Amino acid sequence: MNEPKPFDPAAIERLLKLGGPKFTLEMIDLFGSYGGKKIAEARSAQQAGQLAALAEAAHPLKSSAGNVGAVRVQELAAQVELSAREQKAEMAGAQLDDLEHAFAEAKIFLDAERKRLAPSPG
Amino acid sequence: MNTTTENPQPSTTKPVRILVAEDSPLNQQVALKQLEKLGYAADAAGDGDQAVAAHARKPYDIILMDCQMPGISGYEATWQIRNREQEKAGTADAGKRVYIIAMTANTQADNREKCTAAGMDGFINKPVQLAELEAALLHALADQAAAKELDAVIDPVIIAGLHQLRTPGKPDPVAELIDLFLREAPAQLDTMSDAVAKNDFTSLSRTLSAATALKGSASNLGARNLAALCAEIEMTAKTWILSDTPPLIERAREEFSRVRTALQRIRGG
Repeated sequence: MNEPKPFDPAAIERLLKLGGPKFTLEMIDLFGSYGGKKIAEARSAQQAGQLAALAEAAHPLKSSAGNVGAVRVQELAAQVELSAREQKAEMAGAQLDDLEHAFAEAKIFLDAERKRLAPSPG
Repeated sequence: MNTTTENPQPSTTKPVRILVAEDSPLNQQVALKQLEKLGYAADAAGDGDQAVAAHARKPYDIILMDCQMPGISGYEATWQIRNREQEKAGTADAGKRVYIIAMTANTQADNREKCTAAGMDGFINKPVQLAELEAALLHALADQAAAKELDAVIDPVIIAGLHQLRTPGKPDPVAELIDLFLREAPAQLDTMSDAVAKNDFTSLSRTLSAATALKGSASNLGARNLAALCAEIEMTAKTWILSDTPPLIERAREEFSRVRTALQRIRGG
Protein backbone atom coordinates (compact mmCIF):
# COMPACT_ATOMS: atom_id res chain seq x y z
CA MET A 1 0.00 0.00 0.00
CA ASN A 2 1.27 3.47 -0.82
CA GLU A 3 2.18 5.80 2.04
CA PRO A 4 -0.16 8.78 2.18
CA LYS A 5 1.40 11.96 0.81
CA PRO A 6 2.79 14.29 3.50
CA PHE A 7 1.37 17.34 1.73
CA ASP A 8 -1.72 18.13 -0.25
CA PRO A 9 -0.93 20.89 -2.79
CA ALA A 10 -4.67 21.19 -3.52
CA ALA A 11 -5.08 22.91 -0.13
CA ILE A 12 -2.76 25.75 -1.24
CA GLU A 13 -4.72 26.01 -4.49
CA ARG A 14 -7.94 26.25 -2.47
CA LEU A 15 -6.48 29.09 -0.39
CA LEU A 16 -5.33 30.86 -3.56
CA LYS A 17 -8.77 30.54 -5.07
CA LEU A 18 -10.33 31.74 -1.86
CA GLY A 19 -8.24 34.80 -1.11
CA GLY A 20 -5.45 35.19 -3.65
CA PRO A 21 -1.64 35.07 -3.11
CA LYS A 22 -1.46 37.70 -0.34
CA PHE A 23 -4.03 35.88 1.79
CA THR A 24 -2.39 32.50 1.08
CA LEU A 25 1.02 33.84 2.16
CA GLU A 26 -0.53 35.19 5.34
CA MET A 27 -2.05 31.77 6.09
CA ILE A 28 1.27 30.02 5.44
CA ASP A 29 3.00 32.43 7.83
CA LEU A 30 0.27 32.05 10.39
CA PHE A 31 0.64 28.27 10.26
CA GLY A 32 4.39 28.67 10.83
CA SER A 33 4.01 30.91 13.88
CA TYR A 34 0.85 29.41 15.41
CA GLY A 35 1.89 25.85 14.62
CA GLY A 36 5.33 26.46 16.15
CA LYS A 37 3.72 27.84 19.29
CA LYS A 38 1.40 24.84 19.64
CA ILE A 39 4.24 22.36 19.05
CA ALA A 40 6.25 24.10 21.80
CA GLU A 41 3.23 23.99 24.13
CA ALA A 42 2.73 20.33 23.33
CA ARG A 43 6.38 19.54 24.14
CA SER A 44 6.27 21.46 27.44
CA ALA A 45 3.07 19.68 28.43
CA GLN A 46 4.53 16.28 27.48
CA GLN A 47 7.69 16.93 29.48
CA ALA A 48 5.60 17.97 32.48
CA GLY A 49 3.46 14.85 32.11
CA GLN A 50 0.34 16.97 31.58
CA LEU A 51 -1.57 14.84 29.11
CA ALA A 52 -4.72 17.01 29.04
CA ALA A 53 -2.63 20.06 28.12
CA LEU A 54 -0.80 17.97 25.50
CA ALA A 55 -4.13 17.00 23.90
CA GLU A 56 -5.29 20.61 24.00
CA ALA A 57 -2.13 21.81 22.25
CA ALA A 58 -2.32 19.10 19.56
CA HIS A 59 -6.02 19.59 18.83
CA PRO A 60 -5.98 22.97 17.01
CA LEU A 61 -2.90 21.92 15.02
CA LYS A 62 -4.98 19.24 13.37
CA SER A 63 -7.46 21.43 11.51
CA SER A 64 -5.00 24.31 11.05
CA ALA A 65 -2.64 21.91 9.29
CA GLY A 66 -5.50 20.69 7.13
CA ASN A 67 -6.11 24.21 5.88
CA VAL A 68 -2.58 24.51 4.47
CA GLY A 69 -2.36 20.92 3.24
CA ALA A 70 0.13 19.69 5.86
CA VAL A 71 -1.48 16.24 5.82
CA ARG A 72 1.20 14.42 7.84
CA VAL A 73 1.11 17.09 10.58
CA GLN A 74 -2.67 16.82 10.62
CA GLU A 75 -2.56 13.03 11.05
CA LEU A 76 0.14 13.05 13.71
CA ALA A 77 -1.55 15.86 15.67
CA ALA A 78 -4.71 13.71 15.69
CA GLN A 79 -2.70 10.72 16.93
CA VAL A 80 -0.98 12.73 19.68
CA GLU A 81 -4.32 14.13 20.80
CA LEU A 82 -5.94 10.70 20.92
CA SER A 83 -3.05 9.03 22.77
CA ALA A 84 -2.91 11.89 25.27
CA ARG A 85 -6.66 11.68 25.89
CA GLU A 86 -6.35 7.92 26.36
CA GLN A 87 -3.55 8.51 28.91
CA LYS A 88 -0.99 6.69 26.75
CA ALA A 89 1.90 8.92 27.74
CA GLU A 90 4.70 6.93 26.14
CA MET A 91 2.93 6.56 22.81
CA ALA A 92 1.97 10.25 22.80
CA GLY A 93 5.61 11.17 23.43
CA ALA A 94 6.85 9.08 20.50
CA GLN A 95 4.15 10.50 18.24
CA LEU A 96 5.09 14.01 19.34
CA ASP A 97 8.66 13.34 18.17
CA ASP A 98 7.24 12.42 14.76
CA LEU A 99 4.96 15.44 14.82
CA GLU A 100 7.89 17.79 15.42
CA HIS A 101 9.71 16.19 12.52
CA ALA A 102 6.65 16.43 10.25
CA PHE A 103 6.15 20.07 11.22
CA ALA A 104 9.75 20.88 10.27
CA GLU A 105 9.22 19.16 6.92
CA ALA A 106 5.93 20.99 6.40
CA LYS A 107 7.71 24.28 6.95
CA ILE A 108 10.23 23.39 4.22
CA PHE A 109 7.38 22.52 1.85
CA LEU A 110 5.49 25.69 2.74
CA ASP A 111 8.63 27.83 2.38
CA ALA A 112 8.91 26.54 -1.18
CA GLU A 113 5.26 27.44 -1.75
CA ARG A 114 5.98 30.82 -0.20
CA LYS A 115 8.79 31.47 -2.67
CA ARG A 116 6.57 30.42 -5.55
CA LEU A 117 3.80 32.78 -4.50
CA ALA A 118 5.75 35.79 -3.18
CA PRO A 119 6.23 38.56 -5.73
CA SER A 120 9.84 38.61 -6.88
CA PRO A 121 11.74 41.72 -5.74
CA GLY A 122 12.20 44.50 -8.25
CA MET B 1 -10.74 40.77 28.22
CA ASN B 2 -12.82 41.35 25.16
CA THR B 3 -11.00 40.60 21.93
CA THR B 4 -13.97 39.78 19.76
CA THR B 5 -13.37 41.21 16.32
CA GLU B 6 -16.46 42.96 15.09
CA ASN B 7 -16.45 43.61 11.39
CA PRO B 8 -18.71 46.34 10.04
CA GLN B 9 -21.21 44.98 7.58
CA PRO B 10 -20.75 46.50 4.12
CA SER B 11 -23.97 47.26 2.26
CA THR B 12 -23.19 44.62 -0.37
CA THR B 13 -23.19 41.73 2.08
CA LYS B 14 -26.19 39.57 2.95
CA PRO B 15 -28.09 40.80 6.01
CA VAL B 16 -27.23 37.82 8.18
CA ARG B 17 -25.37 38.33 11.47
CA ILE B 18 -22.74 35.64 11.87
CA LEU B 19 -20.19 35.00 14.61
CA VAL B 20 -17.21 32.69 14.11
CA ALA B 21 -15.99 31.25 17.43
CA GLU B 22 -12.64 29.59 16.77
CA ASP B 23 -9.39 29.68 18.71
CA SER B 24 -7.00 28.84 15.88
CA PRO B 25 -6.23 32.17 14.17
CA LEU B 26 -5.59 30.33 10.91
CA ASN B 27 -8.93 28.53 10.95
CA GLN B 28 -10.63 31.74 12.02
CA GLN B 29 -9.14 33.72 9.14
CA VAL B 30 -10.00 31.02 6.62
CA ALA B 31 -13.59 30.85 7.88
CA LEU B 32 -13.97 34.66 7.71
CA LYS B 33 -12.58 34.68 4.18
CA GLN B 34 -14.89 31.84 3.15
CA LEU B 35 -17.87 33.75 4.55
CA GLU B 36 -16.74 36.89 2.75
CA LYS B 37 -16.54 34.90 -0.48
CA LEU B 38 -20.10 33.69 0.09
CA GLY B 39 -21.26 37.26 0.66
CA TYR B 40 -21.49 37.36 4.45
CA ALA B 41 -19.71 39.69 6.87
CA ALA B 42 -18.92 38.04 10.20
CA ASP B 43 -17.45 38.82 13.61
CA ALA B 44 -14.90 36.58 15.28
CA ALA B 45 -14.41 35.34 18.84
CA GLY B 46 -11.24 33.56 19.97
CA ASP B 47 -12.71 31.34 22.68
CA GLY B 48 -15.93 30.20 24.30
CA ASP B 49 -16.10 33.03 26.85
CA GLN B 50 -15.80 35.60 24.08
CA ALA B 51 -18.50 33.83 22.08
CA VAL B 52 -20.92 33.95 25.04
CA ALA B 53 -20.11 37.64 25.64
CA ALA B 54 -20.50 38.50 21.95
CA HIS B 55 -23.89 36.77 21.84
CA ALA B 56 -25.00 38.82 24.85
CA ARG B 57 -24.08 42.04 23.03
CA LYS B 58 -25.40 41.32 19.55
CA PRO B 59 -28.35 39.27 18.28
CA TYR B 60 -26.54 36.91 15.94
CA ASP B 61 -28.51 34.82 13.46
CA ILE B 62 -25.85 32.12 13.19
CA ILE B 63 -22.81 31.12 15.25
CA LEU B 64 -20.14 28.89 13.78
CA MET B 65 -18.83 27.29 16.96
CA ASP B 66 -15.58 25.38 17.34
CA CYS B 67 -16.19 22.57 19.82
CA GLN B 68 -12.87 22.56 21.61
CA MET B 69 -11.47 25.90 22.64
CA PRO B 70 -9.40 27.12 25.56
CA GLY B 71 -11.34 28.29 28.62
CA ILE B 72 -14.92 27.20 28.15
CA SER B 73 -15.47 24.80 25.25
CA GLY B 74 -17.91 25.28 22.39
CA TYR B 75 -20.26 22.83 24.11
CA GLU B 76 -20.24 24.83 27.33
CA ALA B 77 -20.60 28.14 25.46
CA THR B 78 -23.62 26.76 23.59
CA TRP B 79 -25.16 25.51 26.81
CA GLN B 80 -24.74 28.97 28.39
CA ILE B 81 -26.25 30.68 25.34
CA ARG B 82 -29.25 28.32 25.33
CA ASN B 83 -29.74 28.86 29.07
CA ARG B 84 -29.77 32.60 28.61
CA GLU B 85 -32.26 32.31 25.75
CA GLN B 86 -34.46 30.19 28.00
CA GLU B 87 -34.22 32.64 30.91
CA LYS B 88 -35.13 35.55 28.66
CA ALA B 89 -38.06 33.78 26.99
CA GLY B 90 -41.27 35.59 27.81
CA THR B 91 -39.54 38.81 28.85
CA ALA B 92 -39.41 42.06 26.89
CA ASP B 93 -35.72 41.31 26.34
CA ALA B 94 -36.37 37.96 24.62
CA GLY B 95 -34.50 37.59 21.36
CA LYS B 96 -34.75 34.96 18.69
CA ARG B 97 -33.01 31.63 18.98
CA VAL B 98 -29.54 31.72 17.43
CA TYR B 99 -28.72 28.85 15.05
CA ILE B 100 -25.46 27.25 16.17
CA ILE B 101 -23.37 25.24 13.72
CA ALA B 102 -20.69 23.09 15.34
CA MET B 103 -17.35 23.01 13.60
CA THR B 104 -16.28 19.53 14.54
CA ALA B 105 -13.21 17.43 13.93
CA ASN B 106 -15.53 14.46 14.58
CA THR B 107 -13.21 12.56 16.88
CA GLN B 108 -13.96 10.76 20.14
CA ALA B 109 -13.74 13.99 22.13
CA ASP B 110 -15.57 16.02 19.53
CA ASN B 111 -18.65 14.16 18.48
CA ARG B 112 -22.04 15.04 17.13
CA GLU B 113 -24.10 13.55 19.95
CA LYS B 114 -22.35 15.91 22.34
CA CYS B 115 -23.08 18.81 19.98
CA THR B 116 -26.78 18.01 19.86
CA ALA B 117 -26.97 17.50 23.61
CA ALA B 118 -25.38 20.91 24.15
CA GLY B 119 -28.02 22.57 21.96
CA MET B 120 -26.22 22.91 18.64
CA ASP B 121 -28.34 22.73 15.50
CA GLY B 122 -25.98 21.78 12.68
CA PHE B 123 -22.51 20.37 12.04
CA ILE B 124 -19.67 21.02 9.70
CA ASN B 125 -16.39 19.16 9.41
CA LYS B 126 -13.00 20.75 9.96
CA PRO B 127 -11.05 21.92 8.08
CA VAL B 128 -14.10 23.68 6.74
CA GLN B 129 -14.61 23.47 2.96
CA LEU B 130 -16.36 26.29 1.11
CA ALA B 131 -19.12 24.15 -0.42
CA GLU B 132 -19.87 22.45 2.89
CA LEU B 133 -20.00 25.83 4.64
CA GLU B 134 -22.38 27.24 2.05
CA ALA B 135 -24.67 24.22 2.36
CA ALA B 136 -24.70 24.49 6.17
CA LEU B 137 -25.55 28.20 6.01
CA LEU B 138 -28.35 27.67 3.51
CA HIS B 139 -29.73 24.90 5.70
CA ALA B 140 -29.57 27.21 8.74
CA LEU B 141 -31.36 30.01 6.93
CA ALA B 142 -34.06 27.64 5.64
CA ASP B 143 -34.57 26.33 9.17
CA GLN B 144 -34.86 29.86 10.50
CA ALA B 145 -37.38 30.79 7.80
CA ALA B 146 -39.45 27.73 8.73
CA ALA B 147 -39.18 28.71 12.40
CA LYS B 148 -40.41 32.19 11.53
CA GLU B 149 -43.46 30.73 9.77
CA LEU B 150 -44.05 28.52 12.77
CA ASP B 151 -43.81 31.55 15.10
CA ALA B 152 -46.63 33.22 13.15
CA VAL B 153 -48.92 30.31 14.07
CA ILE B 154 -47.70 29.37 17.56
CA ASP B 155 -46.34 31.91 20.05
CA PRO B 156 -42.80 30.65 20.82
CA VAL B 157 -42.78 32.38 24.22
CA ILE B 158 -45.73 30.26 25.37
CA ILE B 159 -43.99 27.07 24.23
CA ALA B 160 -40.74 28.15 25.93
CA GLY B 161 -42.71 28.78 29.12
CA LEU B 162 -44.29 25.32 28.93
CA HIS B 163 -40.89 23.73 28.35
CA GLN B 164 -39.74 25.25 31.64
CA LEU B 165 -42.37 23.20 33.45
CA ARG B 166 -40.52 20.03 32.46
CA THR B 167 -39.31 17.95 35.43
CA PRO B 168 -36.51 15.41 35.02
CA GLY B 169 -37.81 11.85 34.85
CA LYS B 170 -41.39 12.99 34.10
CA PRO B 171 -43.14 13.02 30.69
CA ASP B 172 -42.70 16.23 28.71
CA PRO B 173 -45.74 18.45 29.51
CA VAL B 174 -45.52 20.14 26.09
CA ALA B 175 -45.84 16.79 24.27
CA GLU B 176 -48.73 15.77 26.52
CA LEU B 177 -50.59 19.06 25.97
CA ILE B 178 -50.03 18.87 22.21
CA ASP B 179 -51.32 15.28 22.06
CA LEU B 180 -54.40 16.18 24.06
CA PHE B 181 -55.08 19.27 21.95
CA LEU B 182 -54.69 17.40 18.65
CA ARG B 183 -57.10 14.71 19.91
CA GLU B 184 -59.78 17.10 21.15
CA ALA B 185 -59.71 20.05 18.74
CA PRO B 186 -61.15 18.26 15.64
CA ALA B 187 -64.10 17.00 17.72
CA GLN B 188 -64.70 20.52 19.07
CA LEU B 189 -64.71 21.93 15.53
CA ASP B 190 -67.14 19.19 14.42
CA THR B 191 -69.40 19.95 17.40
CA MET B 192 -69.54 23.60 16.31
CA SER B 193 -70.31 22.73 12.68
CA ASP B 194 -73.06 20.22 13.63
CA ALA B 195 -74.62 22.56 16.16
CA VAL B 196 -74.68 25.54 13.82
CA ALA B 197 -76.38 23.42 11.13
CA LYS B 198 -79.29 22.73 13.56
CA ASN B 199 -79.69 26.41 14.51
CA ASP B 200 -81.68 26.11 17.78
CA PHE B 201 -81.11 27.12 21.38
CA THR B 202 -79.40 23.86 22.38
CA SER B 203 -77.11 24.15 19.37
CA LEU B 204 -76.23 27.66 20.36
CA SER B 205 -75.18 26.54 23.78
CA ARG B 206 -73.15 23.63 22.35
CA THR B 207 -71.40 25.95 19.87
CA LEU B 208 -70.60 28.35 22.66
CA SER B 209 -69.13 25.72 24.96
CA ALA B 210 -67.09 24.08 22.16
CA ALA B 211 -65.73 27.49 21.05
CA THR B 212 -64.86 28.43 24.64
CA ALA B 213 -63.09 25.12 25.24
CA LEU B 214 -61.11 25.33 22.00
CA LYS B 215 -60.22 28.98 22.66
CA GLY B 216 -58.81 27.99 26.07
CA SER B 217 -56.75 25.03 24.85
CA ALA B 218 -55.49 26.99 21.80
CA SER B 219 -54.41 29.86 24.08
CA ASN B 220 -52.62 27.46 26.41
CA LEU B 221 -50.47 26.29 23.49
CA GLY B 222 -49.90 29.78 22.06
CA ALA B 223 -52.13 29.25 18.98
CA ARG B 224 -53.09 32.93 18.96
CA ASN B 225 -54.95 33.12 15.64
CA LEU B 226 -57.00 30.04 16.37
CA ALA B 227 -57.88 31.35 19.83
CA ALA B 228 -58.92 34.69 18.29
CA LEU B 229 -61.18 32.93 15.76
CA CYS B 230 -62.78 30.91 18.56
CA ALA B 231 -63.39 34.16 20.45
CA GLU B 232 -65.22 35.49 17.36
CA ILE B 233 -67.30 32.31 17.13
CA GLU B 234 -68.14 32.68 20.83
CA MET B 235 -69.26 36.24 20.18
CA THR B 236 -71.55 35.28 17.28
CA ALA B 237 -73.08 32.52 19.38
CA LYS B 238 -73.62 34.85 22.33
CA THR B 239 -75.37 37.37 20.11
CA TRP B 240 -77.48 34.74 18.31
CA ILE B 241 -75.98 35.53 14.91
CA LEU B 242 -75.37 31.92 13.97
CA SER B 243 -75.57 32.73 10.27
CA ASP B 244 -72.17 34.45 10.60
CA THR B 245 -70.65 31.40 12.23
CA PRO B 246 -70.05 28.87 9.38
CA PRO B 247 -67.40 31.00 7.58
CA LEU B 248 -65.68 31.57 10.93
CA ILE B 249 -65.69 27.84 11.64
CA GLU B 250 -64.25 27.23 8.18
CA ARG B 251 -61.45 29.72 8.90
CA ALA B 252 -60.90 28.04 12.28
CA ARG B 253 -60.54 24.68 10.51
CA GLU B 254 -57.97 26.12 8.11
CA GLU B 255 -56.06 27.70 11.00
CA PHE B 256 -56.25 24.44 12.95
CA SER B 257 -54.58 22.70 10.01
CA ARG B 258 -51.64 25.15 10.24
CA VAL B 259 -51.56 24.80 14.02
CA ARG B 260 -51.49 21.01 13.75
CA THR B 261 -48.50 21.13 11.36
CA ALA B 262 -46.67 23.57 13.64
CA LEU B 263 -47.39 21.57 16.79
CA GLN B 264 -46.31 18.33 15.17
CA ARG B 265 -43.07 20.04 14.23
CA ILE B 266 -42.59 21.32 17.79
CA ARG B 267 -43.37 17.89 19.19
CA GLY B 268 -40.97 16.18 16.81
CA GLY B 269 -38.16 18.68 17.34
